[in-house]
Amino acid sequence: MLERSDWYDLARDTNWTPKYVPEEELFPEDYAGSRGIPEHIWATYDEPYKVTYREYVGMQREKDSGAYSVKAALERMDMYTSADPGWIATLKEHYGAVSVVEYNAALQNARLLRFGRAGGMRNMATFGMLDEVRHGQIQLYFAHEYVAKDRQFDWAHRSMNTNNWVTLAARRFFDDLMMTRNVIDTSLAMNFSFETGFTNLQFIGLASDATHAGDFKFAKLIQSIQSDEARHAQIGTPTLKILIEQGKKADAQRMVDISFWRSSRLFAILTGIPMDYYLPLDKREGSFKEFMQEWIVTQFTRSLEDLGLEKPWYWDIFMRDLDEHHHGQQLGTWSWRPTLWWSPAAGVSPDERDWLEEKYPGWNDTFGKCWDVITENARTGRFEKTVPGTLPVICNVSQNPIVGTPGKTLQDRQLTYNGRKYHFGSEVDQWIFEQDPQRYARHQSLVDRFLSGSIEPANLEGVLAYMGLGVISDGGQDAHDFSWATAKTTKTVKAA
Amino acid sequence: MATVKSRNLVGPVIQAGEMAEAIVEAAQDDNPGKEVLVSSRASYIRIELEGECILRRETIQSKLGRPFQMNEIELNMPSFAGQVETSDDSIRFYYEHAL
Repeated sequence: MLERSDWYDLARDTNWTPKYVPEEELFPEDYAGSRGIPEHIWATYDEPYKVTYREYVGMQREKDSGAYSVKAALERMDMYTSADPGWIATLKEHYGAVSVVEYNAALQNARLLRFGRAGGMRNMATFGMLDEVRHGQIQLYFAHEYVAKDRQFDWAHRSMNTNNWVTLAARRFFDDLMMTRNVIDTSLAMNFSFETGFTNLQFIGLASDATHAGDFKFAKLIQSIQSDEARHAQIGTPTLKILIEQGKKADAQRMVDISFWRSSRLFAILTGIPMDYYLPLDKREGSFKEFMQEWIVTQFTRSLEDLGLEKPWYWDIFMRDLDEHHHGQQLGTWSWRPTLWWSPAAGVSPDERDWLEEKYPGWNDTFGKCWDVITENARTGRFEKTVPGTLPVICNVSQNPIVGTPGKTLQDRQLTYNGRKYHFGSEVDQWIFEQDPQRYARHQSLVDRFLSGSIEPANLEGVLAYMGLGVISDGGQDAHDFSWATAKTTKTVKAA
Repeated sequence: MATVKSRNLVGPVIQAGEMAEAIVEAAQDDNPGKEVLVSSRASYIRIELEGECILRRETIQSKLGRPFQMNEIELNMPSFAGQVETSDDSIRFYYEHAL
């Protein structure tokens, strides 16, 4: 029998010479992003992770039957009823932010398989597209089991069609990097930065926490998903090699710098907050920062350098961010809990605060001070004072509230462009805006919409209804009903 | 977690379980003279070798005691460190430039 290597290159090479249309019409530059690099160079694209359709179908069948049979076997265990509310919050946030976006990722891969110049890219993207359809289906299915128990799980299906502020931020991210870039740029932004880098945090790092939390179903599900990513993420690597060989390194570096930063801000909320605040203390494998060290600072950055790029120019800012950004976002999201589709845990009982201080030295003197005030208000029953009365300032790139270390690095950077004032959560967000202002200038943040009168009635009730709260489900409440505010220190057991 | 380690470590991340054990043993056999570092987490193990890590189909097959196709490693491998090269009989993780 022929080995795969005997026929693979020939079978996947579906290039032909067009007779009826010029090549630039078959592969319009806006979609293909060829940068003048000719056909015979793209033909050298050598995908490192090879797979054939027959192999693919067999493997995916195995993966699905593995995940679905674990689900079936654990159905009677009723993990849900005994789970800590912090873990439930993690599940709701994950499913709402991730499930339907997978279908957008299928569209992205579909563009790659149509407009990619290299046969190898098109072959891998075909499987990538099928992978992403699987991820959409399986996550919606797994989340659906809980809808009858708690309506907030309905956001798994609905969030991406709402104007919830978390959705606006996530959708803006994916629109920018996944849906509106040519296939070369998007393969660097999504397949390379996002998938070889950041999705590991959520889909492998969090799987360890899920295992500790006794949610083997979720652990199996997300690792199964990432096993697809590990393969199709490799679409970006040969792209990067060709660009560097063809003298386009600066161009590639710029795209990685943009997508790396935007991803880091997204995952601070998606992964950072659950790992360091929602998860019960005794279920934590490590801190978010430690997972970032393992997956991003070590594994991803080393690959980046091996392929010939450099660390992003804002490396020092990024490293500082690891100690503070998600703490600020936790303060903001927890405080604004009526606007969330999940009920967030505060995660600041005395024992949890000890853990935070150990993992993030100095936490008590900065973020801890804010939580002191909140805790005191909760302890004395002044719950209304634990929800802010004003709207936050929103970054016009990340679409997230602008946060920093209280009294130290909180800074609203402003820029006036074509008569409109824009706000940025960091120097890097502003730099991204300035790379391509037209791309970002017209978008309206939730606060922009409120101030311009497009949300009626212009009060908290109106804003909540606009965001789908009280419509799809009620908004969030404190996950533990403030029991942490009166909790006493126990003998601290240090997490492994 | 991490102490100061070499910056050239490569290798697969494998879901905890039967396959993980087989791959650790195969990594030892297929990379003679090299130290195989294994770090365990609740749901995965990270296998790391200096500069290059080769895993052969036949070795894994003998460790598992059942037929094994090289691409089946994907079922249990959600990630890996380094660049990758795949073939019918082996998978290789490597860095082009040692630091």
